[in-house]
Amino acid sequence: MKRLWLAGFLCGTLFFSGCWSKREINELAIVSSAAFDRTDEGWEVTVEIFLPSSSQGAGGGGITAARQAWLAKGSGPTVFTAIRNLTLKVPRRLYWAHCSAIIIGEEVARSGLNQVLDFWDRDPEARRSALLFVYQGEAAQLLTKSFGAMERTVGMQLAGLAKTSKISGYAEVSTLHQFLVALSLPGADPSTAGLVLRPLVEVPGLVATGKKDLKTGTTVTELNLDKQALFRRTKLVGWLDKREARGLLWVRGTIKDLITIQVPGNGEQKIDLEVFNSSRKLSVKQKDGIPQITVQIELGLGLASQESSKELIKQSPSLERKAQIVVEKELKAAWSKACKLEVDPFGFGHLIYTKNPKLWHKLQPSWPGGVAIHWQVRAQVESSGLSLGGPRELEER
Amino acid sequence: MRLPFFSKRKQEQKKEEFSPSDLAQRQVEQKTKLRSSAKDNAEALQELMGKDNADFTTRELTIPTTPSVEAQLCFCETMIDATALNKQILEPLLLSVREIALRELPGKSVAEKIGRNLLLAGKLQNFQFKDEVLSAALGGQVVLFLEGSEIAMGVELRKIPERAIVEPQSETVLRGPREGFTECLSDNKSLLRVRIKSGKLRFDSFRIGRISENEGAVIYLEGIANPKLIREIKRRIKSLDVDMVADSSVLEKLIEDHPLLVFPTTLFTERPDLVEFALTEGRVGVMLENSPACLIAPANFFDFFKTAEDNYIRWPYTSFIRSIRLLAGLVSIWAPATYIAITTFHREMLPTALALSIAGARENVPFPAFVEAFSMELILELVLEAGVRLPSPIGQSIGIVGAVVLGQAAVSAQIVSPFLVIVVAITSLSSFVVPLFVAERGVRLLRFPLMILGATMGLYGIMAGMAGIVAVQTAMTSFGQPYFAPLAPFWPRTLTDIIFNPPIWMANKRPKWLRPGNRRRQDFVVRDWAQDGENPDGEVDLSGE
Repeated sequence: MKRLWLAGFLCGTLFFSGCWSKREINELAIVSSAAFDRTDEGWEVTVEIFLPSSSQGAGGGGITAARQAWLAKGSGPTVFTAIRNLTLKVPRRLYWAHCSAIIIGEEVARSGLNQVLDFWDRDPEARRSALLFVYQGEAAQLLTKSFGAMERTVGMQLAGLAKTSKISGYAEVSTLHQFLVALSLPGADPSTAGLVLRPLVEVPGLVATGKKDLKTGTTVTELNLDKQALFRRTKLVGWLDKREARGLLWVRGTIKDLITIQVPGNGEQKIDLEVFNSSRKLSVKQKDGIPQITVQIELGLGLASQESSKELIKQSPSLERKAQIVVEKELKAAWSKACKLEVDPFGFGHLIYTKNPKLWHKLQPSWPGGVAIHWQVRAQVESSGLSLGGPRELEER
Repeated sequence: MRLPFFSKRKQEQKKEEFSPSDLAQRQVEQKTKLRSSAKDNAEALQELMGKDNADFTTRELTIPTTPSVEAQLCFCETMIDATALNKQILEPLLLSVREIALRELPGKSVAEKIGRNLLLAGKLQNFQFKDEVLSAALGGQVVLFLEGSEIAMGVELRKIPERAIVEPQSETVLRGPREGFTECLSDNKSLLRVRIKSGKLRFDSFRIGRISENEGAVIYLEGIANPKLIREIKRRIKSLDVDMVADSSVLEKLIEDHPLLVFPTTLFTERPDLVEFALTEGRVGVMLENSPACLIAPANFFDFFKTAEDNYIRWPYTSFIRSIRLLAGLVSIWAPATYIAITTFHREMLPTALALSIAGARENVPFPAFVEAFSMELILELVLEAGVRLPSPIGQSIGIVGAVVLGQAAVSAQIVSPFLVIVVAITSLSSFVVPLFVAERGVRLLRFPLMILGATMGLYGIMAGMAGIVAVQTAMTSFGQPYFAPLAPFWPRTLTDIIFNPPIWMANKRPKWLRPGNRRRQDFVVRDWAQDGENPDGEVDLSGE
């Protein structure tokens, strides 16, 4: 009987606990993206909230041009108060778990992200998997300006872009988690993708006046994700362009892209090589007191497109050499830009730190300097898709 | 007939060993012997049955032998075959015995002479006591009293309304035998006997019900079923003291280990082939007159996910569909509770797009998810109950009411969200996938407490509730055998039995948890032809010669 009571009591304690914060899903304002800007008084937070489609309207499918989102802007001396002030404007409780994109204005980024990062890291609902973007301009504009969008919200558009941009390898978006991890490592600096709005169609002579269609003449802009923002700790210091960004991504080993090279011996015709697999190996040695970092990059390539009709696959050794040169150039460009900005997005410093912390502390003040980098790129053309040569012209047969 | 207060005697009875003719034993105690006067006997019997009882008949006759014998026939006319009575008893006794000298017939007494030589009956019973005679007459025997004999003779001429042997509605198969038990116990016995032509198949009969004196049988295979199990089942049945047992389902509730819980611990089937499978596994069946369902014990939780057809279709599909059924069993309990928990506590677990469409669907729904789900589940139960209760032509229209009015209209009136309708539909669908749960609807009730837990404590609550349910299940037994067997106690080697149904030539052993008297079912080599050295690949050359 005693044991029965004990068992009953222990089972009963199960029910003293439970999950917290019961809230119906339709009582929430689900945030899709948030933009952070600086003002004179402090901070301005613009949130993009999903407008849940009503049950009748849902399920149309296809490409919806119109955004189904609702914007609200809160301001205050700190990020947290700015977000609190949003409750004066949003009739439902803000819900951050589904927020997929954090957009930082360039001005904020240059002055430091500490407050934003702190809010995000501290809040139990906000997820570290949110993507971090730097916008060249006032971040709120990205939400307020109209541009051609495929997804319902800017947040979803950006989340999609972050995935697809991996294919091109011109920019890499880091999540807030990756950003915070990079910050926590000695000798590594975070970086993330930059956004820019550029005109898609410009009708000369007419002024952009808002929501008018092309006939009456207005500038339609499109969103581009083709920059890489470099940070020194939490502060934005500069940008990498497309080619430089690729140099960075080769070292990170996340690239799956095309390399365009000139056909050997035929100046005008260009061919593309697709990267099927890439692996990279970093090693560090010390020689004469100077750390020697070797970056070995091995690329498995495939012929993706060609202009000439020759069976170029047969000349793969020369293709491989050309590809190696291209990649090497990109690597060097990225490294020299990083050195110029005095940041280390590659994490070479961290590599030295893990091997030899004392040496790192010696190098740290002048970092990224006093190090020799050896780039070793090996490329191998492995396949040529489903065809051997290019389209054959009749006379060549 | 029975004393109202016989608890004392009942206890004495409990100590006695179970015997097949339990009723006969009880009657020996009331030793009212028959008299030698046939007329007295018949009148006494009539008195016991009530003077004006319409279905009891006594017929006076004189058997025209030399010398003639006065006799009385007593029978229940509603229970016997009148043609057979004329042919087998009246004709030989009244017509064909003229000018036969009684003393020339072999036999000692008059009764023996007539019984041995004149009655056309396969089974002839002699009775000494009044109560024996009464129950024989009520059971469909024609009783013959002879003047000057203290022994009555009974001839079984039973004919009662019966229905045809049809395929049981709840256990239909595409492949396999299509016969089912009926309400007639002897027919059911013969259905089983036809399948198992072995002397080891035993029907140990018993009687149950103070008033109804219903006949039943404990069915098992001697040497295969565990003798202790047989003893235990008989002990439980024998100790019962009830007015009547209308159906084997009532008996089930009287003898099962856990009558208060929603989980059934005995299987039941109306299919003789399933009983055959169960008996050869070492289980014991219990059948009752007037009930087409045979109880099978012991039963395991996972047995409830098996169907009649499992043994007849190919094993990969059986195994696949069985895992689907297990999943469906869980879904039928979990689905609405999980819907509530996730939409009110764990929004972050949903993919963004799904969260949005649920939020959008719930946008104009005035009730919290719990009220919404709970009331829809209640309404579903209403629809089901109405569909079962109504005669089938009207019953079908209930489905339309349920689907159109409650599904379509409730959504467009925005009382419930379309997502919930999907959840409710999936719940009911999956609860009907589980074969025996269909009949044992009690298990489906568990989703209501789980919904409350889900609404108050989220997924944590559901898990806590499930922990409780599983804890109860692991503690349960079915006639002493563990109810949650290959999982708890954990028997890794038989674990696959939950889902896999191996081909019969691989199932060489009987299930361990049944603790059969003999675990070996057959030799390791069942298909000897496949072992044949001459023909290793099983290729058969039919050409030539």
